[in-house]
Amino acid sequence: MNIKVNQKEIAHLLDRSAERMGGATLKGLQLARQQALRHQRVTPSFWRSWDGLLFGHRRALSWSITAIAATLLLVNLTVWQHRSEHNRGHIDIAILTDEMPVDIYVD
Amino acid sequence: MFTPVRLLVGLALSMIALSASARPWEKLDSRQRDILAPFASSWNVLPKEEQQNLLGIAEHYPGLAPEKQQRLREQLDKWSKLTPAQRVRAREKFEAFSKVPAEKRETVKQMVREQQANQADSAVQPDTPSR
Repeated sequence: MNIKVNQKEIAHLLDRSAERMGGATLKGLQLARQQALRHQRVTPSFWRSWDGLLFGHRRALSWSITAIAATLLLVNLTVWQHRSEHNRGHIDIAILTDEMPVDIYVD
Repeated sequence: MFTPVRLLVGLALSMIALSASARPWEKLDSRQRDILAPFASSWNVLPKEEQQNLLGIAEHYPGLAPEKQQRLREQLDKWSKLTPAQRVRAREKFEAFSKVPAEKRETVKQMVREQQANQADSAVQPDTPSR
């Protein structure tokens, strides 16, 4: 047996089958559905559960990420600047305490 | 506004303020002013980085051996007469010179010593009057 049916036909057949169902069957299905809904476990989203910080808003999340990235960049820049200044300070001390006169390093 | 964002922005602003702080000559303590005396007239117009460098030198000064302290004071006077660009160039040259093999460096130093000795001799010897 090889009958081809399309989606519309399937939906129509299912509707007709539901209409033919007895009251007891329908009530039983309804009860089962309600029971399943009662037992459904709703998993809160990670960000939603992280109350107080992100409030579940995507906008807030993107702002936070941007702010963190900007701060990290700034911290990085400041540390780099501090290090290069520190190095330069050491070079200056080395030049100024060296037996060679500073004049020889000037063009 | 969102609290963590406000916190981070505050942190960032304070870091900018901290890194941008320059100190006027009058705000230096007496020890710093004594060591950095050659820069007294130019201090307030020096770039912030230069000020930081010099303050670093003043900070390290007490830990140096007496002869190094003496040397630093002599050289600091010449250093103060250089432009910031010349100081940058001097650092580059010094770093390049530090990478030269030790023997070659010593040869150059010996040449400079001899040159200085000659200059000192010619400064001490009075001019012989021509007859």
